[in-house]
Amino acid sequence: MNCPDFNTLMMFLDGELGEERMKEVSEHVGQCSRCRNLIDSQRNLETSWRDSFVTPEDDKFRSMEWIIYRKMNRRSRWKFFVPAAAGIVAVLLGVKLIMDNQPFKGRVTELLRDGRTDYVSYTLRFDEERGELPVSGIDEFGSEETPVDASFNVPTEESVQAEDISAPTTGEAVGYSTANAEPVDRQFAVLADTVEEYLRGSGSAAAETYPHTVAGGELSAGGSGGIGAAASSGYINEEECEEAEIPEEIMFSGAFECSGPEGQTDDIGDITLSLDSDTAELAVIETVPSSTGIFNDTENNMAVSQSCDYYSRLHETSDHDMNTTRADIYVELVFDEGGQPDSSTALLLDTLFAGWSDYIPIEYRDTVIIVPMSGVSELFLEGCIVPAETIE
Amino acid sequence: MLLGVLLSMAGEDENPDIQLLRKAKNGDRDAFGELFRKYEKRVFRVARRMCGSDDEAWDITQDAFIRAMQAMDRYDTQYRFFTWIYRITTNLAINYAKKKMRRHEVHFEEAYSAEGQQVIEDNVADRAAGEQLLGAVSKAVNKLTPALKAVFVLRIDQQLSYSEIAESLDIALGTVMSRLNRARTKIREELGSMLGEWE
Repeated sequence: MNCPDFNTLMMFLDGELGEERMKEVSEHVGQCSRCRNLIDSQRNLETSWRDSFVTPEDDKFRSMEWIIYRKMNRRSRWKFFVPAAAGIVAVLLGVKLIMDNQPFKGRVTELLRDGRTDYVSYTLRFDEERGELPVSGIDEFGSEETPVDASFNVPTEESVQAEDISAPTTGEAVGYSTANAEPVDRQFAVLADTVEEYLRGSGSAAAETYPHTVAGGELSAGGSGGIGAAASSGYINEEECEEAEIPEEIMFSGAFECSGPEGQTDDIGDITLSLDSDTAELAVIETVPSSTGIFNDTENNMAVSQSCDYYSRLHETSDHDMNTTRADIYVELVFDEGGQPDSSTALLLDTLFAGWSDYIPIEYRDTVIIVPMSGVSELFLEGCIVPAETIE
Repeated sequence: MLLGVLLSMAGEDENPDIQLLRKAKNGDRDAFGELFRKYEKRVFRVARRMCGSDDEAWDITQDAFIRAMQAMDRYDTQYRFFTWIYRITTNLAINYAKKKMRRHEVHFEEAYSAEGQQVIEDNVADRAAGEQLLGAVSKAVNKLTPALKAVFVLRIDQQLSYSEIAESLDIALGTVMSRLNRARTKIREELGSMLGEWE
């Protein structure tokens, strides 16, 4: 018998030849040192490679088990909270309406006084020519070059809590003021305890609040988009993983366009609206069409990507504690030149809260409104803020 | 039709993994734990062999189980569960690899070099040469295309039969054979004269 070819010898090694053929090759290998050496070397090579694998410690698997279960449990539970979605939308609109229709300084004072409020709002005013979020200007807050009011002073939480918040001494634009307002180009709100970081940070806050591309994935919001994430500081220790507040999926809604593997694009339609359920278990609308290929294409499932990204960051803390970031959730509303809602978020709000846009004053219909989710939902659930309907 | 449904249902009932999967999807913590622990190390191992880092392997592991539960309704009960979870895992790993190639983030060779270095340090001196060769094998495996690597990993690392690999990757048996042969040939070519250590 001539020497079998390499493939046959490998199939012999794998035990995948038929019974008769196995017998033939076996007899040959017993007599042929060359073939025997080849098989032995391949077996050694593969066995060594297989045995070299170092399986991670079991506690890592237990952490992963917990994370996956937690995620899946939430996913299924969200379905029962759809009605609450309307509530949270009302909450968001309520915040907007409060900001629009009430002297916001007084409102802040009142809310902070009860000790539960962690939310303040600022209106940043820019000259009309620039009309952009002050990504670089934030660093220069208070300088003459800033496009915001030159005397704008970012209040600390303590200063906001002060009784005399309506009469600030350090600047004329602390809090919300319409007395001498130029056209408002941008309005956004931040958590009180992160305001310093948010406004005085390296500019990443604004940069991350406004983008239409979500970190950790390759999805880009189509059109006006409806998502945003602002970083706030967190201190996560892997050992405290179970107690740590792991952020839920980033909020996003409306139509998105996905860049596919070969550069093709695929409109994957409505995706997921999820809320910070550590703050309040609220709502999700999972309307991912089955045809989007969510199973086959990792890039289509931003929720998973986001959590994976976060887990990676958790994992990085295994050797030493480090500051990491977690995402706060913001909703962005955009209006077109005609003053009509023009964002995927608006479509969602239409579904959940018919007629919502009627509550938005006309002067704000050329603006982008960005409202944070975190904290706000809790406030409204606790009844701390007057519902939108009661505001004249 | 009805018979098919009944047979299908009977088949599901005989498959304890599917029962666990269904319970897990409905929030049964114990069922999920049992299912996860049954396959966690195999899934992670395939993911780790396929990709470049532990972090990616954890991501893939997480995705694989989540997607298994999400896509449970599409699970064809004629297949064994472990081949299905392997399919999900390898598909995810291949997607990760494609994304990395698009981003030109090919760093797994360095990662494996580090791993090989660690192995060398952890072993006694008379094994050093063999471990260096092992590092070379790891590099050679990682130079394989994702499709070849998937077959190689499932056969050599997971010791699946050819038919199980075909089922896991949803490819023909002949394709398994040809890809495995190509993978082995390429690895031996990469090793070149170093292979003499084992000859």
